[in-house]
Amino acid sequence: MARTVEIDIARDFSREPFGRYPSHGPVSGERFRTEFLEGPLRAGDRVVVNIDGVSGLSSSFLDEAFAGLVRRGVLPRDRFFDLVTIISDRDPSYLEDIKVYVREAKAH
Amino acid sequence: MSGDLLDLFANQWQLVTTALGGLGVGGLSVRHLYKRLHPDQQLFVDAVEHLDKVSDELEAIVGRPEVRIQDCERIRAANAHRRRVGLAIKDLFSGGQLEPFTMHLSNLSRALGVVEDLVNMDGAVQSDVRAACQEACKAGERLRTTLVNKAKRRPSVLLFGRKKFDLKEK
Repeated sequence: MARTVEIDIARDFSREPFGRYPSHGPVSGERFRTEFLEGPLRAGDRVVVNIDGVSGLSSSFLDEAFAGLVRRGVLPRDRFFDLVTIISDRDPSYLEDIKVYVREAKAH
Repeated sequence: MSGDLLDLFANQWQLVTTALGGLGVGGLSVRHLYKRLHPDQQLFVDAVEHLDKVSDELEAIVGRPEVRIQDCERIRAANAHRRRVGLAIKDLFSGGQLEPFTMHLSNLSRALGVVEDLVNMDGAVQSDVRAACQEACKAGERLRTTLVNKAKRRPSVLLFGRKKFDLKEK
């Protein structure tokens, strides 16, 4: 039975995630995706990611962390928001960003 | 808190501006003036100030490999200021008027992302980095214009502003 895995980026990863790839810094989008998202999603679980607690958010980070799931074939684009819930109550504009990134992502 | 910003704030509403300066008015510090603002006015000032800081960081980005670390720090700081802009706007316009801001904030975020990717890219051309910075500044300007236009119509920003800022009456 599918579980729901809750992740709070500020608490579990970094208050200031930044960069797309690990070469851009220690708290990159790729690292977050591989260490926190891919495992549960490949196991068939859902994830709920809360981004409210961060002090700064880089859009490269968001693109690589979330749209990267589609590009890497972890999730099909049309099922993304069935399996990934993102909470950004304090600034909903980040949700719009992520929707655009996911919509534009193409599986390699 | 900059005196220039309070000055700008007062100018937006054609208030008594001659007495407002960077060092304060009549013995009042700029910080003191800020504290006398209505909470909604403070949110507006916060949003504008952080928006200005986003532009400041972007203007300072050089885009050459030898200063990549500094450029990265600047874009990181710009992201943090952009975050603060979003939070101030959310608090100021909570209650269903967020739609125009969501689009502009998204545009600014994505423009900052373009700069970030270029700054981090090996072999990025400096002129490309600077052009991306200019685009991000323009996105910030569009957000600022929308913010000012919307804030002008808010009684909690306008009316309290006139009252609090009219120092000549005191």
